[in-house]
Amino acid sequence: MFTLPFSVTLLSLLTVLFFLGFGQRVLDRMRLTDSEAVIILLVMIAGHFLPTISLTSRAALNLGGLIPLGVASYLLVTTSNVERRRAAGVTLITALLVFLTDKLLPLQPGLLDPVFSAGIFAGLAATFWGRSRRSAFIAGLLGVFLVDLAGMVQLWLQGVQEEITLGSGGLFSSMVVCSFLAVIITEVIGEVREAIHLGGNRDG
Amino acid sequence: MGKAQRMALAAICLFLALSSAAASDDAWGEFLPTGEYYTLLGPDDQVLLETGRRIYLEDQYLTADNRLYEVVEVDDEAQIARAKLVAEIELKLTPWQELRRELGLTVIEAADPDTTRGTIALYHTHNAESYVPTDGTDSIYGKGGIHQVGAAFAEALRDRGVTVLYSEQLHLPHDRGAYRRSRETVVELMSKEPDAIFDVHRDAAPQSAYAIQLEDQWMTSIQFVVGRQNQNLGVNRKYAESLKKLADDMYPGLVKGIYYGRGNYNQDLSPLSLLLEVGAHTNSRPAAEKGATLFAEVVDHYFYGPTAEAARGSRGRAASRSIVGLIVFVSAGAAAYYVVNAGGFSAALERLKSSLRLRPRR
Repeated sequence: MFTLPFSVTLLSLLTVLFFLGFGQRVLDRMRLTDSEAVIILLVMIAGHFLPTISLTSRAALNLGGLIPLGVASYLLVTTSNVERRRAAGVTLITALLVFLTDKLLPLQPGLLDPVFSAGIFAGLAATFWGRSRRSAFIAGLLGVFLVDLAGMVQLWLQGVQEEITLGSGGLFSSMVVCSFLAVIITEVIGEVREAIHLGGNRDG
Repeated sequence: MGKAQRMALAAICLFLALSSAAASDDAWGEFLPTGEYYTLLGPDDQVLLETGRRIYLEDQYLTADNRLYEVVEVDDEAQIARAKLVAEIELKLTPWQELRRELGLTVIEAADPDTTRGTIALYHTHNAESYVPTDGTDSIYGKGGIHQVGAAFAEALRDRGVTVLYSEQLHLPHDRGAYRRSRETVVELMSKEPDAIFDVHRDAAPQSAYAIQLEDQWMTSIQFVVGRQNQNLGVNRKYAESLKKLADDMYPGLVKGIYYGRGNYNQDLSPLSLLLEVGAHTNSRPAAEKGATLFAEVVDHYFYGPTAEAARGSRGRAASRSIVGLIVFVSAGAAAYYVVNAGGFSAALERLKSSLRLRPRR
């Protein structure tokens, strides 16, 4: 029996709608058209419901993980060569920093939560490398994926016989959360820098 | 070969090299050094806690006798922290249905609560954790002794009629990225709508820190860990305190305390999510299994026993609070949407000013 009143259910629905709108605006900031942004968002939501399949006795793949990877590939293919190189560089830096912090910082999450660290690194790296929101988004996605891939290779080399799952496309997965977080960080830092640069002179 | 391809190739080589380095050497600090732990001292230098968990400033600890301390000084070299007494807490038992309603979540209740029990989910973020006296080592790469403790916990719940979703998904390598990988497991478990989720761990502390004698048997006590950096902290705190209150009534000493630490431990995904430390690596695994089995009784009592039963009928108050919370939440989302939509803070401010400006009447 559902015990919540209609008003609360309606407010929950509104919350979802606001955040879908927010996600769409973030994607818009990467020079995607409205329809492209909405389609990418819907596809990512669909990824949340896809299952995990066993590839071998030691490797499984979450099919939902293919969707963010597809989105990253699409963003890479539909941009210029300069932007593509920049995105690859930012992704590499992000993955390297996440990998090192995973290994060198204490086991328990304290400072720099591992769930969000890729988003922070991708956002900062993209800001300092051309303030590219598209690079930030791609690095947030692929940075996490590359570190997971490195972890899988490490386990294979160590001879772990158990099944390891790669990738997840869930809306609340680190990959997806970090991609949006990276764009927001790039955007916020850019805005603050602009405000400081203008020094309160709105006319420039 | 183009520049982009060369960069991609370099990336793959770099990661393969780093993975190989990590595989061949533990110098990356993957494992907690055996025998190292933090000691938390109270105002009179009394030992409040010994734990393998790193202690940060402003972390809090609720002791077995319900005194809440806050960390005011940490010496990482000596691995000693000092805490001040914040308050003596009188724990309150809040039914779980009320906690869910506080967050605006739906509660689906069985038509016949006496015969139908719900679902509890269990998983292990740190799969390798093991118990030295019986497993022979503190860490088994793959499924460590902690999986058998999880299985004992699951079995004890099933024996009481509870449906258990027990995920043995691996989140290796055993590094801090494990919480990022276990997030996927939590999301997958949540899609099956369990009433609560437990992440089962063991601590790294001296044997005496967790060994207790209950019902003429030696077993390990259990410590709860609640992440301070999650938006569900208020509800998580009430939930942890409710379970401790009930455990104190049923099996005094079984729950040794609640640690409120820095981090979120994926508790942002669910308000009824708790990290359990079932003993330490210095305790025997059967002792940890006994502790987990007794704790299963507490969980069953809280979710499907007299505690849940007493909660039926008191709904209006919780629902009104959930509306206020949601309004605040929606307002924050709307403000963020407005700023991004306008193209930045300054543009948003301009747009807001112009829309508020009164137009002269003709």
